[in-house]
Amino acid sequence: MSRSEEISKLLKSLTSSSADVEAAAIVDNDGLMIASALPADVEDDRVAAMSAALLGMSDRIVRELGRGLFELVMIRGSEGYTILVRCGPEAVLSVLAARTAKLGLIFLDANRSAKEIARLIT
Amino acid sequence: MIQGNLQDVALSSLLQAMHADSVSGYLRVEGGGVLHIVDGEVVGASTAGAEGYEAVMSLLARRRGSFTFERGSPTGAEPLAPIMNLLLESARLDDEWRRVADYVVRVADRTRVPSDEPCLAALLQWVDGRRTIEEVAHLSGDSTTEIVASVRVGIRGGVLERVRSAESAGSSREPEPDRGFDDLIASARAKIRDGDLEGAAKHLHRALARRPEDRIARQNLRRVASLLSSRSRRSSNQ
Repeated sequence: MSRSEEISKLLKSLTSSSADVEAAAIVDNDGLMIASALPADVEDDRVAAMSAALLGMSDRIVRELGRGLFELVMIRGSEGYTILVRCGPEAVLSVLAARTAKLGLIFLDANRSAKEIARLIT
Repeated sequence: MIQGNLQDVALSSLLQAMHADSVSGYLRVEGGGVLHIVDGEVVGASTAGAEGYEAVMSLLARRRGSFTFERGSPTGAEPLAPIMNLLLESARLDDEWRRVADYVVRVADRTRVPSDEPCLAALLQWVDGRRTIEEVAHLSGDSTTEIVASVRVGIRGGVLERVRSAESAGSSREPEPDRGFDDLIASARAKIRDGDLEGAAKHLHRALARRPEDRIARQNLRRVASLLSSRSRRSSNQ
């Protein structure tokens, strides 16, 4: 199995682990999609661009306020969550979760997947 | 209605299941393809650039994209071919494409193009003895099915001949090592990090020639195009 197939498999496993995980993608620091498990109605470009923008802003906030290295950011909207988890120095895991999601489980699964993916892409 | 994504279930598996259940209806694939199915047999097909048997082969070659199946009563009584024949032919074409994608060919005798091979005739304008078949495929815009058939006819008929890698190395262009799809994507990303956006675009084009439907490669190419456009705007403002 190639590296990209392994990453795709991990993403599929993450999205199928809970019905509350609606989509997941790996995006690099430049806004390039590395792998995705997105429904057909979710635009790749939008997810990649927003993830890169959120990563850039989060990285800067963490750095400027002396909080070490960026690890995770979560945004709650009225219809659900956007979670970004660092996957090594080059990429982030972006997860879209439903409003009803149990965040503890989502964080656990997302962090676990991010570690595995970081190992594969670095 | 059934819907899903070809990443999760291959079109060949869907067709086998529909054949087993003898269902009738329309199987639509993202990007404008549709298969007409009567009692589990494919009786018609169309894509943006092909109809009938050729369209079936083109759709079976897709590995990504959403699909929907809707029950109905398509017109057309006769199957294009027995379902297993279609699936086996598709697998064979896939194998053949993998084999010829890295060939470098040149025109041996232009006058030997058969009159009933317009695709081969059109292909010759892109053949320069240095490009690989996948690069030619990308430039011509023809489907891999058409390219495979044309190259086969061309080589057998003496219109085309393969160029040894040593010969192509003597050309003006640096020969590139044979790269797999993942390598092409990885090297495109490395080039972006180095600021070589044109080089990245070239590698992504080559990756797309191997997997035209790949969602990630397409997104990456759009992103590179956007970065190139931003860079061009910046330099014109300076």
